[in-house]
Amino acid sequence: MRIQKVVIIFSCIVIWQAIALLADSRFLPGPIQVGKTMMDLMGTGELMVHSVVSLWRVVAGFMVAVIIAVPLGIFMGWSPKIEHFSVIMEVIRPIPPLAWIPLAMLWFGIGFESKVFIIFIGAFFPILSNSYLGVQETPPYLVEAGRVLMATDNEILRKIVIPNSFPVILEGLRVGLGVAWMCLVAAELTGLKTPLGLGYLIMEARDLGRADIVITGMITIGVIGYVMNLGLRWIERRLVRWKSDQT
Amino acid sequence: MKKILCLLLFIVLAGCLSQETERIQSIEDLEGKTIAIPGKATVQDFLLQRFLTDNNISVNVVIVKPPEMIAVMEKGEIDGFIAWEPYPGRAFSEGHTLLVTSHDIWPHHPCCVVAVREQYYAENPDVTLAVLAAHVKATTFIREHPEEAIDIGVEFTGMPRDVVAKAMETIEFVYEPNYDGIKEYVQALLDMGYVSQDDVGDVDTFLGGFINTDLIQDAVTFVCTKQIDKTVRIGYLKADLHQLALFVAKEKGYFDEFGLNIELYVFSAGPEEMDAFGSQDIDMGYLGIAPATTKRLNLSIPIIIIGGVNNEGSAIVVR
Repeated sequence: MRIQKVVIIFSCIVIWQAIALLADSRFLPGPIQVGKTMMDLMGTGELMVHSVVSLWRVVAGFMVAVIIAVPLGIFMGWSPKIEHFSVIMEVIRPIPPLAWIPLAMLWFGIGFESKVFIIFIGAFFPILSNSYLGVQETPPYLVEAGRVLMATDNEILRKIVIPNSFPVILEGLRVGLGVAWMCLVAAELTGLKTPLGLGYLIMEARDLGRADIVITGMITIGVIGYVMNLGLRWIERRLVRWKSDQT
Repeated sequence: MKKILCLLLFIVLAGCLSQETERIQSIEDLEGKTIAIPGKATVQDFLLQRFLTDNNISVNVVIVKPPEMIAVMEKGEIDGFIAWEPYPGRAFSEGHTLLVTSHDIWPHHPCCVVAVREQYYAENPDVTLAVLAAHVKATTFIREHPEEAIDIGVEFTGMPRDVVAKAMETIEFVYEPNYDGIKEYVQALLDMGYVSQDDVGDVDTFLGGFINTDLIQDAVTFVCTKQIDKTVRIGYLKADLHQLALFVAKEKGYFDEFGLNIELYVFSAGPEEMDAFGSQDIDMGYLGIAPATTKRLNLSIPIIIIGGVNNEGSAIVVR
């Protein structure tokens, strides 16, 4: 399997290089030139600094989203009263995170907080809706079984509903993390107190007409996102081992 | 109770005083402050760098889009900004301080220019010349009828009349491309590392192909003998008062006089407009000389500078 993946990646690079050679345009630098630029940026430590700053913003926005969205989603799925509030969520959900940028700047300025806010908005809804669905879709027989065994509502929620909805919640986290990275470039697009970050690197390269740096930034985001996704999958496998044992 | 009131009064007074001491009143006060520019490789980026070097000052440079600069400054996130008019004029009318104008940094420095796609010019020399002739006529109109030009500026920027009038004071409306000024930009872009010597080669040879100084002479003496009846797509920057001539030409019907059908495309900054040149979505455009040169070199986007639009017209504003 591993070899197949390596072959696929290698083939993509070869095709990319071939197209770049055919196009012979500065609009599409090939992998050799991008690789050289990437090495230069790594050598000066620039790429590392941009990556760490962006990673910190993404992690902060994502964590705030997890802390608020997971409990809220669980309670919305559990309590019929809170569920009525879902109509507000349904109205806010389709608003793209980009549309929040003007308000984010007015409310939080051009510093760390406004970037975190945009990433939070992006990650919040996938996490919320999965937490909500996970709880709602708990098989009724499990809840009934709990009641037969005289469990309280609190115990049913803590010991049956939440553990059972864990895989769906974790899937929401993975989607949320993906969206968080997608919002990053938008969040770092305008108004930056610290002119650092992968989104900023891409936008600055755009202003300067450096397509090779743009692609370097894009690849870096892709790789970091991929590694973080692997991490979440690993956590998922460890935490919900019972699920695979059960089936 | 009295003690608490006294304490509160002290806190308020101390707050006011500390605010007062933070105010930037001279160029030296800028040291270590946070100043916003509209973007990398913009004319303002270059002007600020030159200003800082000349005065031996270092500041923290951040990027904020001009329409948001005043709000961000009022929130205390930045201490000042450099932008094109009418944003400094607007900040001034709202009680902020105009610290230096770009005239003080570099007298008569070139700023916006008229550019055309090489291929479009080769295929449509008549349209290119007619647009340039309309531009010459409009620029002359602005110089000769400043009051009426301010009215059109109000419509173009959507800003109050006093703001536009103040902003117009610092802009020199021109139509000839400023060869020597542009040469200085190229040298500066090289020094700042935004473009490479390999791409520029000999500066005069590069500029020979990049700037056409003859066409403007033909435009000045242009006489319309027959209606052209063609469509041309022109890009410009949003609410950039430097580019008022484009709107004067449109409002006064100069394009119609030559039988030109104009399609206008708006951009928020020069680098974006250059991308539109690259994708052939526009044929001609009004934009800053710095992004035009940077992307002409770094992305080989084939454009030629055929006219000047303005000299000066930017300023550093502080709270």
